Amino acid sequence: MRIGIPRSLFYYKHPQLWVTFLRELGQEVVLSPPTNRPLLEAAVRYGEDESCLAVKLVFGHISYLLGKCDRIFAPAYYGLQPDRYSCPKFLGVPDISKSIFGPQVKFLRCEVDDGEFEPGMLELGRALTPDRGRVQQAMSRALEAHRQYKRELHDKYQQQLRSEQPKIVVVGHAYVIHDSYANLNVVAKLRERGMEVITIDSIPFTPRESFLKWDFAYETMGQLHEVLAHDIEGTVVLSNFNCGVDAITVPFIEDELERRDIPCMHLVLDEHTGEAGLITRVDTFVDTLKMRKRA
Amino acid sequence: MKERVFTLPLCGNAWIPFKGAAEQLGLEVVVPPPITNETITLGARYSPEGICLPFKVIIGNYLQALEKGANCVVFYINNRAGDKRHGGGGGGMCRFRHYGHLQQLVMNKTGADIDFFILGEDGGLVQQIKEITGRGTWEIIRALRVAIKKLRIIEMVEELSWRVRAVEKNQGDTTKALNKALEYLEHVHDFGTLDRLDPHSFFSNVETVDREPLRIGVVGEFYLLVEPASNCHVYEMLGELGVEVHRHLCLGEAILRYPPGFVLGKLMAWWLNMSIPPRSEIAEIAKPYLSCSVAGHGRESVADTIRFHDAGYDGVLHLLPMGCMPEVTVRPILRKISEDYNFPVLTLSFDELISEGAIRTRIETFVDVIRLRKERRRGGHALPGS
Repeated sequence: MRIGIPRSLFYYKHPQLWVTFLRELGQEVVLSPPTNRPLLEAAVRYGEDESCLAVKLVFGHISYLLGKCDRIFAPAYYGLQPDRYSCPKFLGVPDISKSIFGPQVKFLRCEVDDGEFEPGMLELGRALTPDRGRVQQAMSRALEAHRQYKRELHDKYQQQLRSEQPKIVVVGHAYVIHDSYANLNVVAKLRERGMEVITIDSIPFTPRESFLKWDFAYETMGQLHEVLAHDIEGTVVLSNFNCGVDAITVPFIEDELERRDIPCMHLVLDEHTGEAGLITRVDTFVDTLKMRKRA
Repeated sequence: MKERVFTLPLCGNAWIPFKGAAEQLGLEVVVPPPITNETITLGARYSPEGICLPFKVIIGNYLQALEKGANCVVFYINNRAGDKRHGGGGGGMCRFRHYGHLQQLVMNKTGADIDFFILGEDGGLVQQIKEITGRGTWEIIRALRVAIKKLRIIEMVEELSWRVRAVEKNQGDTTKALNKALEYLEHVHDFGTLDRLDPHSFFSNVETVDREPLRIGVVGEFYLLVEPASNCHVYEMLGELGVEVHRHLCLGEAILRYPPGFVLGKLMAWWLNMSIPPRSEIAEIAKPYLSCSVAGHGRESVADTIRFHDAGYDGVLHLLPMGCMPEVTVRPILRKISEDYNFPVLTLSFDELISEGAIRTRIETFVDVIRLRKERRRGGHALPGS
């Protein structure tokens, strides 16, 4: 069976996990290309106009996959940490796609709750193949691939900490930071200006008590706490316009940074964001950091 | 220790019973002035930009209450309702769950000297009220009993007023009767009196005309449903156009459905001498369109749109604050339902910049459309606006 994976939202959170799992089960995986102009246009056309850009993009990617695969893979993330919740817009994706594209779109669901992948994977695996041993094997390989991916990120983080260059932390959802077309390549722009850019998902997470009930927000606060123990020059917060989670999280992040006297730039992106304006803001921010250092 | 003066956010007429209960328990309460554009602008100035409208309005309430001398805020968060799989209520994945903490942050930034009591945060509602008031459990439970009963009666009166307003003879009579009823209810603190009250009696003096009104169901986000100032008074607007309104959620009903399990539910029904609205099969009805909860009342909106259609309503109005996570998620689904069932659904999204005129134009157009549809179905014809 050909299974389509939209390259958006959850893909960026677990890029290796699902691809490995489905391939190990002998399925053909069709991955939509990285976001580009036609996909963005499709996203604006099919997406709900008050959603955030990331959720619109999911529908753009799904529209690309239609007709190119038999099923579209859409895991339901109820929560990626124990006792925490995910964004509800993720959960609605399969049902809304049916409303938008019609009932011919078929989805593969896989529920992830409390950060436990195994039960959902077992269920999905059994639906795809009767061979239990194979499911077990695929599952362990997929989880190992994900761990490997995380390990590489953490190793990179350790290297970055030793760097001589001024260090900047980029905070945001994985699907905002890593979708370089949609965020107008802001990470590369910072790197070009001589900054050592640490993305928040490369920082190891240590649980830290927080009232924030969203898994993303909870992880971010923990990771931020870890990274701010080092010598950090500034922080860039990337969020999508109308992101519900960020509306709550960002004030707390800004408050934390203000108390530590670390400059913070909050960039709100959507499909209308102009590159020239973004360059001006990035330039200004980098200049501010340099001037602070000199002073 | 300074004298504590409490305030609470406005949420429709729900302040009446809760103020009554707090005063019975010996607290001094200042109610924020009625919400105006000024309140909303004030709240929006201090709130984070991306947050939803209810938050901004609530901050506006606090700031205006501060001017009137309040120094403590009581806020309630339903800690349990946000069950991941069942959703419903403001907990869990919806932003409402974090309102308490963000309010504290925002109010601290304004430099206000204000204390927060967030009820329901650590469970044990009665225990928390005990700590605040220093009164006994029995007294608190009795005060709550009166408050919930009164809240439910106020909601019934409101519901009736929308029905009567659609057929009133002299415009404004219903509003006068409603205000009189609310004024009366504010000063009743006795459970027996409330229990014997007939909500219909308040409207017996309103002259009505004999015509069949249009009926519109209202679904959507909780706060916008219950706070008329935040939705530009659409209920009154519709009533004046001769439309009967029914909303799918209200606070009292939500409280009545709160106790988990059959036994507690029965106990609550007996305690309040009131029938509990049956837990409907929301999940089952919404299933063809939405197979899981999307937090808040998203799934309820989907199910109730279908239910309003099945009950023979003429249309559905969907209200949401701009960017509301659950309601934005279900909006494409409501559009699809509207298509599948050939059933008019109007979605209105509100933020702090909305003008009443824009809403009025859209509401009038919507009412004209459904009126024409209805006339055409009957084989007659009608001119728009007739």
